[in-house]
Amino acid sequence: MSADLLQFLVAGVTVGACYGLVGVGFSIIYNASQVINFAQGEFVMIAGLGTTSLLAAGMPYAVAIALGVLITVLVGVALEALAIAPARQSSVVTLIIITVGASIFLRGAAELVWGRNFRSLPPFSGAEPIALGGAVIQPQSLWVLGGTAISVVLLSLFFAATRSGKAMLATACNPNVALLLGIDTRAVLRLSFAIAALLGGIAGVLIAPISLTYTDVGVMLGLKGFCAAILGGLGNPFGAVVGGLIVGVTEALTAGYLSSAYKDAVAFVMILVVLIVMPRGLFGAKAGERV
Amino acid sequence: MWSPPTSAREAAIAEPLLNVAELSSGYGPVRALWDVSVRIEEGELVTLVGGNGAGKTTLLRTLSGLLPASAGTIRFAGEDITRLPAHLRARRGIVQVPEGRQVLAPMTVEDNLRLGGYARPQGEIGAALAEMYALFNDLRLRRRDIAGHLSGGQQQMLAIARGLMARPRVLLLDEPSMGLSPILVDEVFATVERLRASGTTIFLVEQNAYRALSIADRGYVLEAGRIILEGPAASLMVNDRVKEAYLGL
Repeated sequence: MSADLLQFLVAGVTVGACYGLVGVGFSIIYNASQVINFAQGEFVMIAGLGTTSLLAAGMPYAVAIALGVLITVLVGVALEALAIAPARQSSVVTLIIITVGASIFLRGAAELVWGRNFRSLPPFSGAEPIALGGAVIQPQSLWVLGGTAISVVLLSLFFAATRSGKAMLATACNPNVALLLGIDTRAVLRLSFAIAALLGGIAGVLIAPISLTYTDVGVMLGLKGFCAAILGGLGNPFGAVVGGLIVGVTEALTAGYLSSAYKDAVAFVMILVVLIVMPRGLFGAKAGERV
Repeated sequence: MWSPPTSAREAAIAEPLLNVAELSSGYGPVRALWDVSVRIEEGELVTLVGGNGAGKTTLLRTLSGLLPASAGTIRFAGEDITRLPAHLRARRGIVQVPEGRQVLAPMTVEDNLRLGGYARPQGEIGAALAEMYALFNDLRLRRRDIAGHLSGGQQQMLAIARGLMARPRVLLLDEPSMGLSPILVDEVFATVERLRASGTTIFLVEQNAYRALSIADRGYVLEAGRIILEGPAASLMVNDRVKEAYLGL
């Protein structure tokens, strides 16, 4: 394998893992409510910028990261409580438009707090690149991959082994039956926003040392995460991770071998092809399985 | 040991377990139920018969809270639950087994059953599961299978067992025999009789009026959203109007 190719793959997998985490958030909220939360990318932005401020305020790095992610979760819960819950009788399309509005609001609010400057976080551990078969890997890339892997494993344990996880699955499968079983589906929606914000926040702090962070960073990351969720099959959280890796790698290869001008177009061309050729994505539920 | 009943207990005994008074309901501006009154005593098997579109499922959905009541009251165990959210009614013991089975198709049989016991203390789930497997041997044999892969009859049994996992104080069964072969229909009615014999209070909604009335204590006849007849099941079976409209006699 050529060193170039390896380098592109490393870059693609790293950024793809973040798309994947964002995409999982889309899928989880979609499962609980059929809503596409277009404020998903803003979770990434808030965690990144929040952590830069906490770090600047003199907190130890690990504490700043934890608090940055925690603030993001609180924003996610507040978004559900203040913008989605009051309108829950409305149609899904209305709720989706509300999330678009929330996304614009959050970016505006962030600009008031942090201005329009680019900021960066230091790498979690050292900046000394690791050589691997002619390519170099930033240590932060390993943090991104490790953090994503741990998040995905914990999430699958949550779904497989906890009562709340099963309640979320039941709600995704059939919300009316979930109510008849005594499941508080509104609490499930609240929890889904918290988890989506948590995953977006984790992606935000993992990627900030590599890609810089600024108030509009969530726009592209959010859309790429959406592509990842669609490609993996909307409603299948683990499909979104695979979708994210595919989007990330394809993007990196396009930027490397064609031109970086096409980089952002790749994801959207992929989404069009997926929607036309296999609208349920790679791992989407078969039509018959939804009751 | 004998202890004198308290006055609250006496009041609860005086009132039926489920007491529905002049209930109206519908879908948005479209009204589907008018002034429906139904009462179910503890331990009774009461049936609601009526044709397609009479409002049977609408009544059950209003009782379980999936549809809001537009007028009237629902009292359960001495408490007004007309405005209580659906999941809290389920937790109080009003358990609906929905029309068309509606098992959680992508999940396993055992996960379906465990979720049936969602509202119960988790320590009781193991014993409840064993009880269901003793009652429904087919489900025990297929407990690791995906619920969507079961036959229609097995899915109906799973839906009923999932309802029983919640330890219902009243079980609302919506057309449990619908879409099943005659042999499986027999099995479903045998199951309902067995549950009743074990003391479960049951509200059975059926299009199969003859079968339902032959096992019930009392019955109601719903037509175009109104209760038009009620009485002991045996007397409804010999009622001319019922015979003509529902028993094909």
